[in-house]
Order: sequence, then structure tokens, then C-alpha cells
Amino acid sequence: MKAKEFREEINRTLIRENMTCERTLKACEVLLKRLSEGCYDAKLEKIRDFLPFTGNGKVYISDEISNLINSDILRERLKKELPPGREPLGVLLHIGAGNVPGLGAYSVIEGLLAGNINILKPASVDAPISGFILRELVKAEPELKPYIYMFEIPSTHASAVPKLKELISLSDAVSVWGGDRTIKAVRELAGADKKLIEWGHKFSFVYISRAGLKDRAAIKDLAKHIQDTGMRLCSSCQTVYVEGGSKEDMRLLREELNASLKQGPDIKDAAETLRRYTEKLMSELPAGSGEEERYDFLGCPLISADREDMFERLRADSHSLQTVGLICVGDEEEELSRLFIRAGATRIRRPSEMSAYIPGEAHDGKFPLYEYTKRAEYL
Amino acid sequence: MDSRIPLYFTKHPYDISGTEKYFMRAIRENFSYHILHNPDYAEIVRRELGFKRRGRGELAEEAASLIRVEEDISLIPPIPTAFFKRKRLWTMKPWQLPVKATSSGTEGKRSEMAYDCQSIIFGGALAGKLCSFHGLFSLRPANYIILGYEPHRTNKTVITKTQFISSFFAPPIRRSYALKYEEGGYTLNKKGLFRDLMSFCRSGFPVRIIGFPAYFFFLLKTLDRAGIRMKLPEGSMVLLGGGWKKFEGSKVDIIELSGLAEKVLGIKPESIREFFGAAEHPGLYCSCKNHHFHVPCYSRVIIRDETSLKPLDYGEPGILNLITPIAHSIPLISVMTDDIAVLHRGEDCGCGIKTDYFEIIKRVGLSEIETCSQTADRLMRDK
Repeated sequence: MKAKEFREEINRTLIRENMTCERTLKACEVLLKRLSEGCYDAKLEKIRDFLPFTGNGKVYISDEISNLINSDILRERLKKELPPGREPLGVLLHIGAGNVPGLGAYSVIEGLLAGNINILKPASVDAPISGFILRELVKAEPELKPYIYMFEIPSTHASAVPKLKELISLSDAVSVWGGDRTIKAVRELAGADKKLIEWGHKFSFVYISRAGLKDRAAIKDLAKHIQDTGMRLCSSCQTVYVEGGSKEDMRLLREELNASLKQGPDIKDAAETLRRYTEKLMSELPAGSGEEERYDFLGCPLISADREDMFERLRADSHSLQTVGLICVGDEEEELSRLFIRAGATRIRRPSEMSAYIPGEAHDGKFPLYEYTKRAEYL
Repeated sequence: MDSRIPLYFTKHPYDISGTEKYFMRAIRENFSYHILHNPDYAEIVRRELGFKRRGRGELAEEAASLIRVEEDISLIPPIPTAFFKRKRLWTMKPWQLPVKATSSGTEGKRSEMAYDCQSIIFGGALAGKLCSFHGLFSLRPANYIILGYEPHRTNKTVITKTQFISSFFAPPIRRSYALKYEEGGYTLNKKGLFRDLMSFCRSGFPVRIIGFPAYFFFLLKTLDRAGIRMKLPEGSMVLLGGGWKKFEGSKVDIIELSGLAEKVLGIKPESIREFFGAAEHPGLYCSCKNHHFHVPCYSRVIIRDETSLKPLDYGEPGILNLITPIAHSIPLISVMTDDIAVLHRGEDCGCGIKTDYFEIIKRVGLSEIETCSQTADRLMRDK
């Protein structure tokens, strides 16, 4: 389709009556039902080969999709995030990231719920899965078709810039997922007048207080969390700060985390075997070997820190802070929570719940559906 | 004398029985060399083999003495490629290592590999022997289609270097690259590549196509869909290597690929050769006329169980573990790749080469293990 025709088609859809969110919810329900009946198993198995994720592929992807499109959760969100009087922004361009399978499609579903026309440029690794979800949504509810477009544009390709500029010029707002580099690039392309809704890469971490170091159960939960999410999500623990951690503390903590890992679920595949074996060899290296002494667990750095310095340390990155997992005792909780929220974090959780989605909670301190709409004043 | 010398300068690259004593001696020497000179590696060996704390000299002697016959090689702790991406396990000092390279492109974690002078000489000898054995050298000049990266000083990947070296197997007239370096990044040179292929075809000189198998497949598909049929000049060859990586889902077996190549390019299946190698394993495996990777006398292959890592028997799929005594630079003596493979008895092939051969089944889906063609994938997807 030529750019001019595309623009005309979008304009025709725009001046029509708003699409109701009920259609989207209905399509999600159909999709969820077919998914639970196993209709997509073969297809998902095939898509799995393209994904850079480990785990029990089929079940894992199905679970991710189910969580994303559960209409009960979406209904709750509509109630909570969209007060009366909100109108869709119009045309939303979604620039997706590749850290969660189906993230691009999920962003589009949010845009649809808010009543917008959605253009998706998925991350290349996410294109098969997001493309599949969106195609199935349109199959379930053909009326959604003029509200969903997807273009695969490899970001590194020379033609990406003019193509993206064209799509940005068609949109009322750009919802961009990705790291600082992506966001900076999109900001430059979008110019001064375009509304950008940024879902940047976030930094989440766990803070263990001196007293918290004795909490064996919480440390076991932390090992499980790091193992399950692999630092892949914005809310995944990406660093563990240990209050006043001596070398001995750090070694003991690493050993304890590794020990929890061994008691984890059965090894399912070669990837998991290799991961654990590599980890075992890493832990066998003599202390102080190599260029610098580093402590880490499954690639997640363990760093000694002082409580007094934490605020200063975090302020420089306040814009990218998201979830803080706390391992401490009762009376420290309030003080530490306040410290980290003031420093820029938006969620305080136990390690076991860092990446759990609690229906109705904000994302990066914002309500996406609210962000995708505007307040309209009528006569 | 260094046992590697008679091993790497042997006449016949598949003469395992004639070189076995040198191979075993070289393995013991290499194992003990790394334990003696690399404290980190020594500690891993000590803990993996359950030795009590003792001097490295004593440890080296005791550990090497465990490796008496070929079956004992599996006792040498295999180091996964992912480990090298996390930790530089160099035995020699950087200034002693003239060639440095990385395993992956601009995405993912890289293994920093380095090779000492001796291992470069031995590597050259083994590559020369194998390529000559498989008839890959020719004095007749050829035009090259390279389905990979154009070399550039910023690209340090082993695969780009090997593809470039392969373009000297026959004197090069011209080279045309699928991924050209332009304005600080790689872009897909689809039009230029097709144009060059057509003109090379008419030139009368042999054409050599070198590259990732997935890209060769995509090239053939594109030509096939457009109804294009060519006849590559006599003496043309296709040399594939680097694996299917992220295109595992589109993988077709070599028989199907050869059939399509014969249909579209008019090239005989026996003129299509596959290579297997890894940056962390300085060895080379070239497919025979039946498209099998036979193990040459310079290395050994162990297949390990996916959960227990115990060595498996013929015919059982598991993690590929490659053994070589070639390098002093890094303990690459026993490296576990991210491939699932099966080992078969040599006689089952029927090509005339008697050594065992292995078959790559698939790659392990480990996100840390991301290698060379990942960036290329993203560019090719815009095909």
C-alpha cells in the first residue's frame, strides 16, 4: 500500500465512530479460549524456535499470552485506569521491545482498549509471536482489522529511518518500549511536537539489609526469582545490594544462592544443564582470580553497599528505577521503602513478588490506558 | 619433542590409528601445561576431579596420569562456550598471542579468543591438509559470492575471518558480499548480490559461494520463486558454514538444500560442502560427499547426556563436546558447545573415510549463547 493510500485509509477509520472496547475484550476472550483448548499448540511450538528465551516453550508462551489477554483483568483495568470523559488519542504508533514475547501485541491491545488505531513496529525477535496474536485477534473479531497494522522494519537497516518517520507523521502519539538508545533515537525522529509515551528499560534491584542477610527463606525466593526471570523483565532483579557486605558475606551469599538453585525444579533441558554447569565452574574459580573480584549469581551482580550512600548512588538513574525487592526486618521496612521511593523507584516488593503482575497496578508509575487517551471537553 | 608436531604434520588427516599415540600424548601434555600455567583452570580441574589442595606441579602430574586411554579423555572437565563469554581463561599473556578474535558479532556476549604462534601454525597445517584432502583448493581463478559480512576493521568475528580466508582457496577475481559495510553499519546488498551472481555466471570462471547455510537457502528460495534457473560454470563450489542459528525453524536438511541448489543453480550436490567449527575450538570439520562431518585425527568428539553430562554411546543425542590438544593460549582442550549432536560409526557413512562422524541435530536455546549470525539475521529479515 502506498503511503498516501494508507493515510487516507487511516483517516477514513478515524472519522468513523469510535470502536468500543467490548469488541477487543470479546476478541481476547475468543483467543484465550482457543489457547486453553490447545488450538494453537502446534503453531506456538513452531514460533518457539525463533524466540531467544529458554524454559518450557509452549506452556511458557501460552502462559505469557494468557496473562496478557485475560479479559477479566483487562475489564478491571478499564474501570481503574479510564475515568469518564476520556477519548482516544487517535493513531498510536507502538515501537516494541523484544524482552517479553508478545509485548508488541500487548501494547496494541492496550491501545485498542483505549479506542485507538494502532500501528506496531515490533522488535524483530517478537515479530512472529506478536504478529500471530494480532492476526488471531482480527480473525476472532474482523471489525478490529482497520484498527491494527504491523510493519516489520529492522532498526539497523538503512531504510528504517525514512519508514519510521513516515509512520510517526501518521500518528498522534508514539508509544516506545526500549532502552535509552532506542528512546533517544525515537525522540530525535519524532521532533518536538509529537507526544511520546515512553516505557523505557527499567532498573530493578534487591536490597538486603544486615538483618535481612539471615532471612534464608527470602534469599531462596530471590534465587528463584533471578532464575525464573533471568534479568529479562523491567521488574527483574538486575543487581543485589548487600548492606555493608564484607568479602566473606558476599561469598556466603553467593554460595547460599547457588545452593538454593540446586534445590530448584528438575533440569528440563540441555540449556538449563549448561547454565547450571557454567555457574558451578564460575563458582569454582579461586577468589580474586581474573581482572577484578566480582560476585554474581546467574549473571546478576552482588554488590556491597552502605545504606547512607544508596540515595546518592540511585539518584543519577532515578528516571530508570522501577521495582525494589526488600529483604529486611519489619522495623526497617518503612524507612527503606521511603528511601527508595524518594530515590525514584515506583514499586517496593518482596523478592518473590517482584515480577508478579497485580491486577490494577500502575506500570512504571503510570496507567497505560490513561496515557493512551485524552480528556475531551464537549459543549 | 612436542607431540603435536607429528600429529599435525601427519600425511593423512583421517589416519586416527596411525596417530593415536601422538594424540594421546599431546592431550596429556596440553592438559598438564594448562594446569601448570593457569591457576584458574587448575582450580577448576582440582575441584571437578576431587583432588585435595596441593601444588600445581603435583596436580598437573596426577591429573594427566589419569588420561591413559581414549575413554579417559571424558574426565577432562569440559568448559562450556558460555563460560568463555563470562571469563577470560587465558593461560598465556596477551602479548604472547598474535591473533585475537571474538566468537560473536555486535549482539550478545562474546568469547574473547586468542591463539599463540604454535597453535596458528598447527591450525594452518590441519586446515591445509583437510581442504586439500577434500579437493577445495584450485589454481583456477574464481569469483566469490560471500553470504556473510564484508570484512571491516571493526568486525573481529571468527566467521568473517574464516569466510575471507576461504576466498583464497582459488585465486579470487572478485568478491561480492551479502552484508556490505556502509556508513558505520552492515546493510543487506540484495540487488548487488543478484546482479553479481548473474554476471559471474556469464564470465566462464568458476563461482564459489561461501556463507551461512540459512542465507544460501534464502537466496535459492528467492531465485526459485522468481523462476530463475542458472548454470554455474564448471568447477563452481558452495562452501557453507556457521550454522542456522536463529533460523533453526526454517532449517532444511542438506539433501533438500542440495536438491534446490541443483535445480536453481545447476550445481551438483557433491560440489556443496559444509564446514563445522567453533571459535572456541580451533579445529575444522569438512563434510564428506555424503554430507557427514567425520572426525579428523587432530580432534575427538564426545556426546554428553543433556542432564547428567555423562558420555553417551553412538546414536544417542546429547551435548557436543570437542577435544583438541592444539592450543597453549587458552585451555580449549575440552570445550562443550551449544549444539545437540549424535555420533555415528565411521563405517555407516560409506564415503570411504573410516573415522566416526557426527550430525548436528539442533542448537540449545540458551540466550547467553548468541553467536555471529545474530546481527546478520536482523538484516536478512528484511529480505
